[in-house]
Amino acid sequence: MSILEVKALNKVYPGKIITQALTDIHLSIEAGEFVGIMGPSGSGKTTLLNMVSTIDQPSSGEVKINGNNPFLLSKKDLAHFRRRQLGFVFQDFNLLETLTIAENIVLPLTLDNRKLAEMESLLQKVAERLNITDILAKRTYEISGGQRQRTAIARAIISAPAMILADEPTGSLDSNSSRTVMESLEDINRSERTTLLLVTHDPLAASYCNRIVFIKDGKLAAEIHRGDNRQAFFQKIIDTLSFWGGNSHELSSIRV
Amino acid sequence: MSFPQFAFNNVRRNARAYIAYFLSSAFMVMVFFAYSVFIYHPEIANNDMGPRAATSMQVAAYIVYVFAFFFVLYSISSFLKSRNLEFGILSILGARPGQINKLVFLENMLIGISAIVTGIAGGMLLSKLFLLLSTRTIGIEDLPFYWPIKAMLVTSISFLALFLVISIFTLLFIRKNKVLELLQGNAKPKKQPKASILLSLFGAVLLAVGYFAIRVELTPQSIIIAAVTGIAGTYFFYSQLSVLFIRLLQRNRRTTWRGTRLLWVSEMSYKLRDNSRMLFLITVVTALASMGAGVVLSINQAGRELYTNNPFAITNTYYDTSSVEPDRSVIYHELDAAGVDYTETRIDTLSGSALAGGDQSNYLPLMSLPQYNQLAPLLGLPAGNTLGLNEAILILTKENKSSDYIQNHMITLKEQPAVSLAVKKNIRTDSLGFQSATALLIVPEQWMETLRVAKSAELGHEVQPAVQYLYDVPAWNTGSLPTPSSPESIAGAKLSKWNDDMSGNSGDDFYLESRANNYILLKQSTAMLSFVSIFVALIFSVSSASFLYFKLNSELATDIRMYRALSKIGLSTSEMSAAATKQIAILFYIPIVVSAIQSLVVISPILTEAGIKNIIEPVLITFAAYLILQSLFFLIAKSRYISSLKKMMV
Repeated sequence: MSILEVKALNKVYPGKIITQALTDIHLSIEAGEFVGIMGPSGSGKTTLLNMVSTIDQPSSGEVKINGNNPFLLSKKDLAHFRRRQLGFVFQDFNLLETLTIAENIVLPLTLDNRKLAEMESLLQKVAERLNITDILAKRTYEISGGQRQRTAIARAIISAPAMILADEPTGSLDSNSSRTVMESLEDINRSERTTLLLVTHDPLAASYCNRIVFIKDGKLAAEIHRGDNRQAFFQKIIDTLSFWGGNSHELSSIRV
Repeated sequence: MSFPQFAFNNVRRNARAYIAYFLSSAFMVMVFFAYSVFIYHPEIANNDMGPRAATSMQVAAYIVYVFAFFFVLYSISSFLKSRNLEFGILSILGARPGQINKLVFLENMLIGISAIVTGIAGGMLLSKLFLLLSTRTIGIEDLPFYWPIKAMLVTSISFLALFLVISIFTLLFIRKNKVLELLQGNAKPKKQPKASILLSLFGAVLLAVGYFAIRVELTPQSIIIAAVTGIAGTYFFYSQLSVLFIRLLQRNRRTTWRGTRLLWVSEMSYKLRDNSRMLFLITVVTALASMGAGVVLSINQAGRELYTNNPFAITNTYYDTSSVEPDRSVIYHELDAAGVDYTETRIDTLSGSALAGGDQSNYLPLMSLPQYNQLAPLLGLPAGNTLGLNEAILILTKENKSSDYIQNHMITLKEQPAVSLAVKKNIRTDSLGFQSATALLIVPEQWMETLRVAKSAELGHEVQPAVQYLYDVPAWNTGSLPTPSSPESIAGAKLSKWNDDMSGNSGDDFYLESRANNYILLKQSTAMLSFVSIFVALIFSVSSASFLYFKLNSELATDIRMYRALSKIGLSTSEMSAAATKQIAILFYIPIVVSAIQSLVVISPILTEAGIKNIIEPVLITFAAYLILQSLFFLIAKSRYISSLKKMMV
């Protein structure tokens, strides 16, 4: 069953200079997949993610999440839809510094007025999975970047959403933290069969995906699948990037 | 672009942030100026009430000035904090610290001077109205408009000094040398508000001490103790107790992990701590202003009751007269001159005291039954038919306790302890205002004589009952309150003057009271107080609201970022609006609630001591007015804040 269906999606930003951000995008993501979207700056990755996140309206085309078209919902229902069906992980974490780690994680559940016992047991479960049990009482400024991002992941998965959307989750982390964060995402994808959509610049982070879609200038450019070997997949990503990326001529001339 | 131009443009282009602060500064200048126009009015000295009015306005002007100082200081210091990033950029571009200081100084003076100019200009426009209003409410002759050179000078010099001193003061705030720190500015993580248990306890103890000091016994010392501990306790209430309370609240997951509560409760502890000094200041001044207003209103109300509870326009009392019929022709003449019908009633009262158990006794004048029967229809009371030898009727005001007089259905008089009187009837009425006591005992005629003889024997000289002549003027019992120009007040004032002139000059000392004259005199003295305190309270309300508005505005960028991120993860606009409204409401209303409680605690013993029983109502009226005003500001601030947040919700 496909969790996400994107059909003939176009996005035009009107104004004095009309910008065609996305052109005829088709994308289908099956349940349990871990899909990456890559592309150079300004290619439209984030615009695509915003459409999927229901934060931005497409100019034409269709986005279906779990078979529903979220853009038919009212603004209030849309907020509830995001809260229950989607989980978000951002580059800058977007954790509230006025709350403790535990409170940050359970925030989506409290907004839904869930029972306290249920919230506490879910909190314990996701904290153990992400290995952040011992920092639950701390504040956001007392923990490392990797721990913050894992907190954000815990917040994203605690409501058991249909899909998790990660926007450059390793963008402001060092290599070690990046690794633990990506391993956590991979682990969640494997064991919980949670569907993941990742937007990233970082080939190393992207190498954790099952499939990568490349976008260039608002159009789908390529799609590669991962075999068994992550190392080989990483090389494949680098090759594709250098082929599709802005400086493909220089790079390819060195490699070939 | 020259340096002053740069400063000027900085202010001009940032007008949105400065406008609330600028307007409330200008408003303070304006009110200060309006008071000065009154104080330095050339004709004020020629007026009866004038000098007294000027003195109380001077006090109000001082209060406004002191408050303005703190207000400007706090506003500027939080302004500067919100501009750290700007200063960081300037430093990176190579601005010397001296240049940044100069910039800040120029900006402050620019706003200060324009506030002074605007305030005085607004004050000039309003001064005619202000003079008219103040003279009308105080009830003195109209003061003509004049060209207030002196008031202008005093206002501009004092506020120029204020802005100058504060501008120099604020330079101390920006002594942060590290550019990095400035560039990070507000982005630095906010440390969790900490409350020390010891200090919180200390604050609670201070508040309790203040409460008991004023409740247990009312002496000047206890009032001072209560004021000091109360004010200090209020400070700890905001800086420690409130934070502690929220932390305890947060520990209870059952109450806080629900809906948007998780969001706004924790935000609240930051907002309370960050604004604790300002909230403290607002609370203290609001409490002081409303205590003043509450006292004034209570006295006014007591004055009204004094008037309405007295059915007789004029009472004339001879405490110790030898003549059988003292000369009252002046009163007749005055009443005839006013062209009204009147009836004169004579009553003779003997003072006595009722034993109230233990050593205590309560003042209780006595009157004979036949006289009471004459008086009763005028008071709207039932006549007493007959009384047995040792029987009596007790008349009490509605607030009085009958147990203060009656023991086991009997009244025993201190002057005649051997024989007790059985209380045949117990009447309650509001209309005892014609005499000084709050109770009256009606006894058979023989009893009056018995008591008179007993008293004379005790004191060793002949005692005569006090003679009171009561004048009922139906034309003046209109049910509405008199004004200084009503015929009753004019006649009353003349008769009171006659009383003053005659005192000590005639054989018969008498005491004449006109209920209208008493009421007018009381009203004039309180009207001024209320006029002054209303303006002071208005200033506090306006400027505290503008400070809070400014604070919200300066935190808006951070809040927008937070709510935007939250809206991505599924916070709906209505939930955002609910959470934000609750926070703003707490900031706006908590000082009012706290100061209302404080005023009630402080005012009630003071007024009870002064014999005024109805306290809660005037205090609540004061706060209702304040609440309406504050709600207006709250609605404006809230809707602007939320509409800017709404734009950023996805």
